[in-house]
Amino acid sequence: MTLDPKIREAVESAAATEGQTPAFAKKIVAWLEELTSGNDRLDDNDSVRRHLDLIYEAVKDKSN
Amino acid sequence: MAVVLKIAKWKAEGLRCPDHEVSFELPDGDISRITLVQMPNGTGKTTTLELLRAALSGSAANDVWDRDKIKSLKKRTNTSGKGTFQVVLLYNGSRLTITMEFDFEEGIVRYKTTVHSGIKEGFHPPSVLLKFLSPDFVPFFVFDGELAERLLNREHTNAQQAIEDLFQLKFFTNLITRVNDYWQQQTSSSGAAEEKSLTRRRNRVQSLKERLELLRKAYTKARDDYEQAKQELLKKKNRFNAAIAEQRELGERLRKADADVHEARANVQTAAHETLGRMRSPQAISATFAEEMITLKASLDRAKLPESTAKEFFEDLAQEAVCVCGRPLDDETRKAVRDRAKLYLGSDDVALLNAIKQDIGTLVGTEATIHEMDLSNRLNELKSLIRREAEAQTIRDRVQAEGVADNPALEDAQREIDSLEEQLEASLTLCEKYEDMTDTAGDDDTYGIKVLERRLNDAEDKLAEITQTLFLKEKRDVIIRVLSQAQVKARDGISKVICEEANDRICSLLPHNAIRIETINRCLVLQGQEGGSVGETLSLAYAFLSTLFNRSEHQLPFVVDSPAGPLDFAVRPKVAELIPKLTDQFIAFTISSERDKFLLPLERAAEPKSLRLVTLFRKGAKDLEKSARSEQSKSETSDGICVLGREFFRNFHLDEEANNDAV
Repeated sequence: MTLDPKIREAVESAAATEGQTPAFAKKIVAWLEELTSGNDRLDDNDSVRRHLDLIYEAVKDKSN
Repeated sequence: MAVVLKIAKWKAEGLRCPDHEVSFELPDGDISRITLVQMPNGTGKTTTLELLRAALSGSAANDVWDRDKIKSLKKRTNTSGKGTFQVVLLYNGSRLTITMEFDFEEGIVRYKTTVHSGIKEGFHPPSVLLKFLSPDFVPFFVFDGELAERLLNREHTNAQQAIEDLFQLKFFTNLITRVNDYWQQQTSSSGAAEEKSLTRRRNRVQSLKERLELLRKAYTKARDDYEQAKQELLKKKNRFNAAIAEQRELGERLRKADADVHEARANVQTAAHETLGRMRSPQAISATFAEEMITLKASLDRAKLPESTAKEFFEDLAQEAVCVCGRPLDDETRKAVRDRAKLYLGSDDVALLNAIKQDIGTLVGTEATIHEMDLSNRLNELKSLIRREAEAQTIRDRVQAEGVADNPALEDAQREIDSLEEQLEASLTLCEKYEDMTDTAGDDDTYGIKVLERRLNDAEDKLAEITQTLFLKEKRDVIIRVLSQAQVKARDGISKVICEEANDRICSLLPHNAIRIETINRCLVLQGQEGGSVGETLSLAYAFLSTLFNRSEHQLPFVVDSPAGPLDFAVRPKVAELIPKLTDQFIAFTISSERDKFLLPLERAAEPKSLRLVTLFRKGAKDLEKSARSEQSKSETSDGICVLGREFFRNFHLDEEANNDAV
């Protein structure tokens, strides 16, 4: 199932509100796309960790 | 992953409707896109629909249906004491069978679920289907006019939840949980200065989280109860006041009394606000305090504090070659200046004391008693305004009581209103408990959600400190905020688009009607009206549901009782044109009178061979039975006949209608 455009927009907007980069939003959107299409699952712990490593790393530090 | 769910067939035995089996499977294995099941009145349409909903949602499981309910579904001529309703589904190509087994003597119903792995006792569809096959969601795709009306009632529907389920917005909640888990794993694997301290801090975080979850649920319920009671109260009060206003003179007096109460209340609020403001000044509470402040200022005045720097002046002077009086400074005199500088106040101290003097002069003045007197006057004024508010309220109550005395039917209404007001008050008190910002009690005795959230944040900070993961916690908080906000924005964004598109469809279905959806909350909220006629509500339901299902990539069957019955002839063809676009499987229960202006447009709009016409009737009319038995595609049970075919469908009850027309 493709991600509804409004969901993508919502993530991008929320990320911008929190002062985060488009790249950060893209990582969340990419993960959601994998989950909604069935290509990934939340009970796959290795996959979850990989995605979260990337997302945590992409968070912009307030001091930057 | 998109869900594709279709109904392959259902079967009923021993139940109030005729024993029958209706299949939607085509010879090539595909499922018929559109099926009309024509069942005359009294054949058991309502029963079949109810059973279908129960089978798909598991709503009769776990003793939800009581003995009387179950017994009421028994066929009168059933001697076995047993009955079965079974529905076979195709889910993403796999078969799933849900069977309800009725034991009328014991008054129980048991579910069985059959999937590819075998039979399970109970209602156990695959987990991915549970959000659709639930008592809350099934009414969105198996519905009738009554359910269409429920779309407008927040007590009976949750349209927003349907949007969350269809568009899988729950993923946001799940991601937040995983983000939290990730952080907790990081904190558990980092080193900590002291193990005991770490355990204690971790336990506190956990305990606060659990308490918050409990309180948030309770608060949501309290708020929902409050909103519900408020809406109910408003409706009842409006009706009550309208009834009183019908007695014209009384109505005018009541309006005036209401206005007086409103004005008196506003005056009290303004005066209370101003008085509270004054009470924040200690000099207003106590003349003695004011006097002491004035005495302090007088002492400071006598001390003759310098306007500017004191100690710093001497320290700077000590660095000069020459004193202000002109004498040269040597090491000895410089040391003396520095030593004596310590006897003087620093610039910060002097500035503070000067500021205190100024504030006392401005705020307290020279008269110790005027503030106390002013506050006393305000308090007296406030008491007087409160008295006037009470008097206005008494007058209003008296007028209302007169109205009730003249119309005894209003007494009950008044009692209901009083009871609702008590309920509202109780709900409000409960909400206020969860909104309380008092931060003095322990965690278990604190109910203020924001207070506990702050404590949790502090506790997490402390935990993060001790495990040296504070920075990671900040990142976690950012991610969670983004996900939380995104979930709300996504839901609101999708709701708004669905609202707009549904309104476009309503416009095309009912071009001369102003009914429109304003917003989607728990239910559909209409613009400027609370409800509509049966036809309007049904058109609205079609427009909303078709928009909802079209936008979502999930494909669910759409089962409707009487799709066109309440609609007038101008609207029927438009609904008929809409149906092929609604979903990949549309099943409708119809009666013969719905064919007019509906069947032909539907046949024209549907793809060739995608429309299946089934007639199911109870045995008893010999001519009909004879006619049915001559058909090629039919099935017969002890008390029912099911015929597949266009001509039989179109002609069913036609002679009867012709005779009626002749009369």
